[in-house]
Amino acid sequence: MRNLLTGKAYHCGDYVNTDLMAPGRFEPIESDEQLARIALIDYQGVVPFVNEKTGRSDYQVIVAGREFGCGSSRETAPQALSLAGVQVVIAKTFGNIFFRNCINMGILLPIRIDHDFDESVHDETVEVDLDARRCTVAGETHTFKDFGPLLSIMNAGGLIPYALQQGDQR
Amino acid sequence: MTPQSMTHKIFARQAGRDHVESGEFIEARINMSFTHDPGIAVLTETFYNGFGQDAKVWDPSRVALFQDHLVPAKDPASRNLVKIMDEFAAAQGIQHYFPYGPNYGVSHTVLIEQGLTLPGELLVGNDSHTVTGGAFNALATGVGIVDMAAVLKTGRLWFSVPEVMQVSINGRLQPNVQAMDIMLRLLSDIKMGGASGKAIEWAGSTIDDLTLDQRTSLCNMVVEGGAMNGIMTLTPEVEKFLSEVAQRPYEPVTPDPDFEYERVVSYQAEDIEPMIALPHKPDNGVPLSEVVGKGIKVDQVYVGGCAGGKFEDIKIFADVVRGNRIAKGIQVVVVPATMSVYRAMTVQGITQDLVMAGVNVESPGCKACFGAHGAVLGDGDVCLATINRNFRGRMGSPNASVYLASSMTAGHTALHGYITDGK
Ligand code: SF4
Repeated sequence: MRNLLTGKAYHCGDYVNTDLMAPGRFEPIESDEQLARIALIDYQGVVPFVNEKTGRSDYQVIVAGREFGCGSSRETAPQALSLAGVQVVIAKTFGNIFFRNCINMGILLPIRIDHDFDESVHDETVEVDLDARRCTVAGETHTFKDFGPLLSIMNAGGLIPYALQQGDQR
Repeated sequence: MTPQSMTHKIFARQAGRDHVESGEFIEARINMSFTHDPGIAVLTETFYNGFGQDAKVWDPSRVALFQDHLVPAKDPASRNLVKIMDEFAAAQGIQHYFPYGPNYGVSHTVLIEQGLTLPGELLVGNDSHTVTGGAFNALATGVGIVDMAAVLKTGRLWFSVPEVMQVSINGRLQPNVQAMDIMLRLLSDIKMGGASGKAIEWAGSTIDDLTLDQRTSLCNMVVEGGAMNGIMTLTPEVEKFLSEVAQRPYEPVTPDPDFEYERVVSYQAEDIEPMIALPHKPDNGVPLSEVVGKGIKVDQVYVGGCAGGKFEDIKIFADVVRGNRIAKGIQVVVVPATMSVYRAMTVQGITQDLVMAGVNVESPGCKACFGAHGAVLGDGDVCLATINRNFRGRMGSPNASVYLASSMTAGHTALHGYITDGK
């Protein structure tokens, strides 16, 4: 996980659930390529999330409303977003297990802030400084809560590598 | 010291601290963990690939395995999952294994019956309705597969200490109001996500007067409001029950009287009416009286699951249908949550009453509650169910409509063939 990041924002509304991110009808998923291609396929956003030509997203940051990732606990949801190229998700609130999966898989940085962004945030530049706990979205700067010990989990590459690292100290 | 809620106290104890603050991340020791059949293949793969083919679980007495979603095997793939679970249980010496057979049933209900859901303990499961355990003063919450793989190895897990809201109910419920009605009312007021990531702590004289099964239904559905957990203090009735079944000594928790809740939602019990959730969201609740008289015909009435298939739910349903016949042209299905519920129904003559009324009593488990098998709905079907979620497609076809209501409402509806309170 990089501590400084600049990217382009993709807007998502409230209650975007994991079914919309990685629909069950594609199971079993054959490859990372395919999982990247179906990321957010059922979400009707400002523009399609994945660029048809590249099979990846042109956006590195999602700026979402309430309960991003609510619904079923599937791991393929954060995985699909990450494979498509997303590094950070900023939301008002997250579905509990989706948030856990982001940290545990070490692939997406889930940042929770109160914000009023609507569709106009789309395509705007986002800067995240993890060390300073600050993100700037469309020129507006917000601070977010300390990730505390979760940073070590993310830096280790997820919960399992982290547990392995900690192994002999227990 | 900062006053602590019940949730704070359990987290503090399990993190080896004297207190914790909402919003902080902690690592806590797990008292009890469990998983069930649908996730077992991915879980064991994640566990062995992550920690090595000879990896062992941290404590085989603190892991429970359940077959509840896909049994009796609905297809060869389900049967193969059972075999993976058999192997894992044997290889790891798992002490609490509940395969399909004389003692199986829906995980959350079996954990309670078996005295494995204990006050003051931290309980995690691979299922969103793990929150059910809060009715027995446990901090019980659902986690993902990677979480569970790590718990199996280390017995520890990270948590974000939640904000805590209180739901307080005082007074006497009307005789036709059940826990399901209370929950549908609360959800219609706070909406899905109204308790996002929070703990709900229940309080008030009404909660103290509820029976064990009714308490269980309340905590079961807090996750429909987005809550991380829901928890209640013990009552003499719960303690008596636990004195018979508890598998370990336990230390209950109570909230500090000066704890400041982030939000308090209060009800007067007398004001709560029978409710019904319209398709396709559990927070679509309206008073049942608004729907009665509209002549909404049903194709199926379904009484079952960890929210509405416990002994008392089924008994209340049976009290309505006993001695009558179900309406012509509809199917009425009762799925006891567990074998122990099924045995109690049978010993007390309830199974016989139901069958004589024309009800189909199916074997225990999750069945159509999650739409995989056993009375699954087809296109255009209308169903009244006592389960906890009515999302589109949850019980089968995305073109079916599911209404959620109490088992008493289910009884009246079963006799008339349309949604009614029987008046
Ligand atoms: S009965 Fe329904 S809600 Fe309960 S665990 Fe089974 S599928 Fe989930």
